[in-house]
Amino acid sequence: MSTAMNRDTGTDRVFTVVNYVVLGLFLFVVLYPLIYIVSASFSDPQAVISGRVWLWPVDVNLSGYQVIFEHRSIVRGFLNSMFYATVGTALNVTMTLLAGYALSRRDLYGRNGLMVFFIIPMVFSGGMIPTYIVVQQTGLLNTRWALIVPSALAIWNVIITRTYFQVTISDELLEASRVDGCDDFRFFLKIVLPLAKPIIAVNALLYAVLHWNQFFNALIYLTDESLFPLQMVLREILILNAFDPAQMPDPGEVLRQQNLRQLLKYCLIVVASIPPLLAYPFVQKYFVKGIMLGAVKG
Amino acid sequence: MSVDKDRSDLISQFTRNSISRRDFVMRAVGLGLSATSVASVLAACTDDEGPSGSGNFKAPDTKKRTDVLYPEGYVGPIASDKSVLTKDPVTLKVVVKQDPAVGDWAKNAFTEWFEKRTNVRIQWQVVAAEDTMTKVNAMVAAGDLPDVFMSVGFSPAQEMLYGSQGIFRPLNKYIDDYGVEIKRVFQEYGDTKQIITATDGNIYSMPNLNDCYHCSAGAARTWIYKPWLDKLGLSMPQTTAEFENVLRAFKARDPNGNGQADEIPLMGYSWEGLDTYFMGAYFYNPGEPWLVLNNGKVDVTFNKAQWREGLRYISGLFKQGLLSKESFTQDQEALQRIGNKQGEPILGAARAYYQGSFLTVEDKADARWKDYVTVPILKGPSGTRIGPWNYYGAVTSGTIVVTKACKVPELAFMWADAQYELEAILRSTNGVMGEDWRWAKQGEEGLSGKQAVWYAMNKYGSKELNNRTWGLLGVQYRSTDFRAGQAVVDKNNPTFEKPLHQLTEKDYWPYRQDKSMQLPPLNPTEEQAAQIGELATTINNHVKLMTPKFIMGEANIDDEAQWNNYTSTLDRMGLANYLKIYQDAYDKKYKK
Repeated sequence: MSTAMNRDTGTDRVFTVVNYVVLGLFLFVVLYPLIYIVSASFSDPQAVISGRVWLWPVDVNLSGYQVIFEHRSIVRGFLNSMFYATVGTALNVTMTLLAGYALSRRDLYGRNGLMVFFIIPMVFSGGMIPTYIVVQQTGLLNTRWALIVPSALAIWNVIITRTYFQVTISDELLEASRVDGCDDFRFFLKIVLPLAKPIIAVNALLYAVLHWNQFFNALIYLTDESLFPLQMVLREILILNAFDPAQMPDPGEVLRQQNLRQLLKYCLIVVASIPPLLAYPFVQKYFVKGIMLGAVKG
Repeated sequence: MSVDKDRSDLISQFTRNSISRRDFVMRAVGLGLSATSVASVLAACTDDEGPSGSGNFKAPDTKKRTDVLYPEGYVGPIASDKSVLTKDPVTLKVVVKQDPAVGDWAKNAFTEWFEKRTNVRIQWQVVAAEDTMTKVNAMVAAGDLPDVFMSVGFSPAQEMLYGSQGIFRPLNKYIDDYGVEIKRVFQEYGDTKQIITATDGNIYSMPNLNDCYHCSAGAARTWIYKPWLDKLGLSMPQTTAEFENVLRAFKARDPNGNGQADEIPLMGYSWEGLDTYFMGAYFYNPGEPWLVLNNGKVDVTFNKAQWREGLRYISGLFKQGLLSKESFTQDQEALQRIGNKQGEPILGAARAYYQGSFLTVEDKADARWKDYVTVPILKGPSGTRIGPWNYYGAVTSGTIVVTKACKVPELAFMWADAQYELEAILRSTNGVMGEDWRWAKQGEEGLSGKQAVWYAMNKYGSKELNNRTWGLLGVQYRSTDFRAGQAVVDKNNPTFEKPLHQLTEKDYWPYRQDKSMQLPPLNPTEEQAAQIGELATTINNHVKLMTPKFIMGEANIDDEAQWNNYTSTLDRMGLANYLKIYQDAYDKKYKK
């Protein structure tokens, strides 16, 4: 920075100022809604609806959070989502590492042919109804596994992982281990896995966020409320504003929905965002590294 | 975004059913048939018993209760004691939507009571409240059918499609052989049967009937802040000229007395049109999709000379700064922020469905919403005064359907039928008897001032009712008299329904159009529905684009060339064809 300062010319300085102003504006545009939502969640709903909240909380009030923790379906949804995110991610990461490593080995017979089979479903999917029928006939419908098994593997992640292994695990390493009497499983467990931390972190984060935001599969495959993830509950409450006057609804009904929604809206957004926000800093340091390794040298 | 509120009238269904969704349904069904053909062959053996079912059941013994009070001339559901529908408990699989207030359907207080009353156990399958049809179509296509779908919101076109493929069972026979309460509905609400009957003569669904008197006027309702009128010594406007004067006074004479010109004379929001109210001074206009009947001919309002007159008037208000510009863009929350503004009110008049659309309806004696009253339909320069009244809003078809997977269709039907009984209705919407509501006592007055039937101890929608009701998600028979039969015990602090009812009676009911002018619900075929949907999107969007332009002066309403360009563009978009499809659908259903 100091060397840059020394060589600063007038235009450079203007550029820096403009840069900061523009980036500052971007920062504001991104940050403001976030602060607003957090503030609104701690404010009296009445203050929000009468437009008195614009940056900091007004009439601090925790009634929304109180209702959330009394509302059984929200707590249950939260726990369900945690389950799907942890179990699902564990399975995803395991599958992805196994597939990615196998495909990275040059001595795998028919490697290119196998890769084609992986890529086909990435480009063409079977479509919703056939997939639904498969899920139904394998008996997964309306079980927790319906959210975990059909999405056990993302091909895109396999490709990143494979590339990562190709780049970091050299053939010499394998040869050397073999000379020392290491078989394939031992090599994978003792050599490959410890070297794969960045790619494991990347995969875990990508998959976990995917599971956490998972909505569509739950919509399609689940009908038992006790299995619903948080996103289903969240959506159910947030869409309560979909009041369409052209349909002449019963005002009593509209009012009922409006009240609940005003109370819960912002608190729910905050609650639903906490887990990914908590997880991110821990994996973030691997994130950039892992993705770059996988992507650029592919 | 709107799928949730599927209890729409048929017309708005069309406009929302985009082509892709229709394609999807068609494809989904195509696939589904191949997948279910095995199942249907197997099921065919049991189907041979004929549509009237197994004969193991009979309609329940229904005895009218004598301890419930009704006002004179009462038309509506009656409280009866009923025998159980089946001696041995039978379990039905029912698909319903998720609802935060219903909570866990299986542990809901009404579910438990109704299971006891009917001896029908329910295995609930809960689907999301938004994008419901995605899931439902997948179920139908995969042959993963429940016994009953309840309140998932099938459009008439879907009913017809699935009905004609035998996926939904026709209910006509069951209605004749096992119907008790539904027969009362048909008798007392004469239109119902015709509305829910598909063009092939079959009835595929049980309707929900909610004859909300004041909802019928909701499309035109406009509110004004009464204290300002009083303060400025103005009387309630009755004509377009008087209304304009009142708005001018609101703007110029500082009615809130804070010395600033912060008053907003008139404001609306983008979800509701201004035309539904103001056009009443020129001709009958029901609002989007602007379809009317003209001596049995389907027509639209938005290309008529009177429409132009109306726009000219609204445009005049805008040019004087009496109508705020945000009315065309803002959403409900933005309008509510204006209505709820802290300190002195700033909103003079609002075009809004009900009080809660523009401010918070609070349960306080001095709440602001109580100071807003309705403005009657205005009389135009030539003496015209017609407010749009929705005669067909009460009946929602497609609420309960029985599928071919159901082995005991007559029982499923009776289970639906039993929901139309008075005690069942009250428990299903108002909660536990004796805790959340009770029967009215002699002398308690209802909303209309006559003897009340029931009294809600916990307000509808309050937190106390969570997990105790089905909201409005069952089938019900809520007639006008039933609704007006709600006792008003604390006369000084009534719910918002009381003023809403009275104001509608005074300001809108007298000016309603003749029933023959309103286009009744139709049952187009899947193909017609798709065509209508496509044309309606283009045409209605053009109207919605041009109306604010004419009002705000971006297009000049007085310029012949621009007006002609507007109408000819609509013609080019296929207006004639659009009307013809509607005409065909109308003739098929209503021309004898």
